[in-house]
Amino acid sequence: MPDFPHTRESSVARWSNYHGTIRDRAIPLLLVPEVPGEIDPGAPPKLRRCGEALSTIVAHAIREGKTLRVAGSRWSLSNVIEPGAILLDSAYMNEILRVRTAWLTTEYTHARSAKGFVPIFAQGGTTIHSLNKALGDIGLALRTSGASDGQRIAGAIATGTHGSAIAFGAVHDAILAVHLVVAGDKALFVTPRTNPAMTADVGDWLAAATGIPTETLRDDDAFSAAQVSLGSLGVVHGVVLEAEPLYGLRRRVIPFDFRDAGLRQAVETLDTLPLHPDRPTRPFHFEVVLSPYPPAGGGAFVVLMWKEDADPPPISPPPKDPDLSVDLFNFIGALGSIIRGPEGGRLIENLVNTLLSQRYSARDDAPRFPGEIFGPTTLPPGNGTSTEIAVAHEHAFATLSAIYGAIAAEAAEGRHHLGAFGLRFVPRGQGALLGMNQAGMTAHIEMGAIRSTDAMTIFRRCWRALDLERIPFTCHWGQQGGHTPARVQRYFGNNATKWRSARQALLTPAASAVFASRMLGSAGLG
Amino acid sequence: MSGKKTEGADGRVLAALIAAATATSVFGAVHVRLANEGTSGPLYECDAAACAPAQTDDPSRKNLGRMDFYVLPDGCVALGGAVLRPDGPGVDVECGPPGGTTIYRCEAGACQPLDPAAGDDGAGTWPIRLPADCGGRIHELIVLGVRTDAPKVYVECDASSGPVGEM
Repeated sequence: MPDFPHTRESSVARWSNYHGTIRDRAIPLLLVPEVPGEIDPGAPPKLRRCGEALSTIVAHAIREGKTLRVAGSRWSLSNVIEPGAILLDSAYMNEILRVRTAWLTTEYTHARSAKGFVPIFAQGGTTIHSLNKALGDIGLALRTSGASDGQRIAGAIATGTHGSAIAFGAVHDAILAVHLVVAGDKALFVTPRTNPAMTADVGDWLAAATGIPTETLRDDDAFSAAQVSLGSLGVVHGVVLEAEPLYGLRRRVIPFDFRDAGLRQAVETLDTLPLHPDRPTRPFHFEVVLSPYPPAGGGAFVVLMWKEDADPPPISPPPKDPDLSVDLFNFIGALGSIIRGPEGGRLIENLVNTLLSQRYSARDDAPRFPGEIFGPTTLPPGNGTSTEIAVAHEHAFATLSAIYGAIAAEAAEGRHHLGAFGLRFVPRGQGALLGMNQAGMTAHIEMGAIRSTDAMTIFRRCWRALDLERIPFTCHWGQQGGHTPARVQRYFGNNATKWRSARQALLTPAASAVFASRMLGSAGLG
Repeated sequence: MSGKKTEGADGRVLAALIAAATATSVFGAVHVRLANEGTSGPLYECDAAACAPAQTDDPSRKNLGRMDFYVLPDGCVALGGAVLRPDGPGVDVECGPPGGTTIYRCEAGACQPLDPAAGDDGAGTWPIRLPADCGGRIHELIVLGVRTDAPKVYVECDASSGPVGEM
């Protein structure tokens, strides 16, 4: 075993992910670079320390043939975050740096800088929370994020995290370059060949700063593969993302009848103007929260956000107390599995609807910054589950119809979805090969719930229903997924093949084995 | 129609029961969680003698029943020390470097500055050891079994980024 520089070594007997879908795994070797209490006063600068640590860790994993996974905030519910023999905790790889103006291409400067866009380098362990704070302090903001801010940037993009920014894309669509460590003595600064934002100076600077020889690779397929890497293209030391001038978001929640014709039309056309005649501008964010058991006259909640100036200074919101305790959620989950009769089923359905109505009451908030709107999660850790189905927008209603059919059939057999559905829309961005937003516009139906013994049965029925309807779909890489080779091939088509080819080109066979995961096998991407 | 109303009422009753069951103060807290505006970092398990990387890392520890939750005052990320007060129950935290700035008493649902002149002999209190690895920056403290003889303490270091620098 080498002496890993600037790194705390330990093991963990029982490690679980945030939602408890992966539980009590033993981690033989947990490595945390950059532990503050371990840094000698005479140590080299931070990026050099990180480089020395990563170089030694990756070289060791390849030499010993041990699987190496990098822990983000472990919010993913899928096996994409199953720890390997070595787990690297990137918590302190969290430096945020502005890319020098002199290193931007002329084209980027004219087309983007002139409009206020700014390339920012962030190490892979930097959280969305930290980015919101640090960027906000200098008048900048992320272009989009997920619903909350706990993810680390490398993990967020690796799994295709998105919001519902209907005119932008997913988080990975704001990425301009990825710094990948693929061997102990080799890193790649991967940028698109088409319209790169930066010159090779950035890769050269990273080589000098980290001490890891870095080649600038300008390749459209390699870049599009690295945008959503599933954690399997090497260690993401850092990314360059595009920030934009700080904005505020005014949020409005409007309860609707699930069967409202106007709502249906808005989902079909993505023209929301008829839903808010007093505010005749297209929103930045459009989302519909749906009850799985819509009651007469209700069951739908439209969430809209518009970009506006916001006056108060950016703040860094503290954590929130989860809605309900894990004990109570476990109790409800257990109860849901016990109650099978029609009366009990109706009770559960009414409970779901009551909780939804309480959570999504009508409101029209004053503008707040993205870091506040998409702040700390209130989801209780330990007992959640969710799948998210992504389809081309044109299939949205057929998909919803199939899902509601499956949900009704499951309810008739006494199994209930103890949660809600979130319908979000994400346009195609730069074209990440494994981005879920493959179509011009993609509809995402997230089915979050309390975990019960019935939950996976319900999810499987929904996936099968879509197969029967021959609707090409994929599941969110970070959520419970029915990722089979056939489904992946049907949805991603040639892009899945390109991703596999890019992985083969970026990694040696030995490195390929080190960065493999069970998900690659089940999705046919290994 | 009337049947529907009854069912809806049942759902509301159940929802109200759930809300009531989460009001931990009704039953008295047996666990305490304190967190600040920082970012989750590595997890340690501490006893009176030492801290070590946690052998059990299960995020559901953040959200147990009968757990009191406190948000530390703005900027209280550098933590000089912490003392468990099982009787309250609550925790006194020293915000700032050791021997430094302000002590807050987190008890009965809120953290309030503690007047040093108020006098406190520390009887019945239990010092919480903080991991040296955190470098004095803590994101979260969780004490399980605050009224027991051997409370279990989990400490998450803070891993917040600094301000934006230049390449």
